[in-house]
Amino acid sequence: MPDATDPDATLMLRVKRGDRAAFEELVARYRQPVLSFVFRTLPDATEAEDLAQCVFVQVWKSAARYEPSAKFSTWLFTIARNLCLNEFRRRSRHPADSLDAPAHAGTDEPRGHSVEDRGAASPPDTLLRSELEAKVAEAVAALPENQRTALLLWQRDELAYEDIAKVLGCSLSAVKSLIHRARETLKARLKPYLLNGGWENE
Amino acid sequence: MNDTLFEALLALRQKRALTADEQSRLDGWLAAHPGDRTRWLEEIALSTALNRLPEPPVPSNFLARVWQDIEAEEKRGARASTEAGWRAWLRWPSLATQFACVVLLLATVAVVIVQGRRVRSHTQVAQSIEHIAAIASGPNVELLKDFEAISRLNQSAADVELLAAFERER
Repeated sequence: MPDATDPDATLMLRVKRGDRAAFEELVARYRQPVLSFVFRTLPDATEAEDLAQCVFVQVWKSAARYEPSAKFSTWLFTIARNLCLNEFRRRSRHPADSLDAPAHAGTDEPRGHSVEDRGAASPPDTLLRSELEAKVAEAVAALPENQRTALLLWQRDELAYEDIAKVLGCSLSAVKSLIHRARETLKARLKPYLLNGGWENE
Repeated sequence: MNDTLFEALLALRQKRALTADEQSRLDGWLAAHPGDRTRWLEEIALSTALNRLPEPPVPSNFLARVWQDIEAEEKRGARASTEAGWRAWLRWPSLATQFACVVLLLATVAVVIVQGRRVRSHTQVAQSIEHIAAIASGPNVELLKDFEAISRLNQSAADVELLAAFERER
């Protein structure tokens, strides 16, 4: 039975019966988190869009087999991660498309930073913040895939440790360890930027 | 107070802003343990930085493109199943079909051989009868009409005198 606290699972059960409106509601809710998730793994905006679309196509196709045994978001991010890993494997068989190649060849722009920050700020602040965010994005992109996925699902998508464990197919303690190691790595790499970067509290 | 309090407050702060009570407890902790202030600042700065990572803009036609992909997939799926049906007829037979063909072939060969033997044996029997009939053809019935009388004749002693007379005439 669907979790009463998870309205997404209820929506998904409607999708299972072919309800297009329910599907559109789910897409509206999750297109940004899914696109962001994919974009952190495949830092090319166009490819990330294509893959994010594939995630929802897969949701529609798999709806008949959907069982609300876990939170919908857990199921969704599992699909997203699997598609990202498939893309990684495809690229590893075709090294010309390798993710190791810079996303913006010939520029100093790091991978994963083709998106502009739309926050309003004065030009010097914008410049400083852009540089800091570029460094953070670069450091995040350099993390091992499972550490990056665990960290971002926890930090940005606010999934519980248990749900992240299901997405990654590992134990709860492994998830905590992955997040801890990811944060330690980032702190080490970003130390000068974190202490002097003007990261005022939100 | 112990380390657990600091870690608990840190975990809370990584997810949300602290309440006034939590903040006062943190301030108390940091006053007593100034060495933890740097770590606190680093952790909070990192969480803030991660939350501020820019998100890629979602294209306005995202949903339309998803539906387009779904329809294309469904069309491809329908076409593929039709083609697969035809290919199933045309493709190299499966193992079961191959086995069935071999069994059928062997059975046919066996039937042909047995039939051939039967036909040959019938022909041979007919030929044998014909041959035996030719060899064992009996005397003419005219010759046998006095068979009874002849058989009653006493043939125990040969007519030596008559034979001698024949010999002399020759």
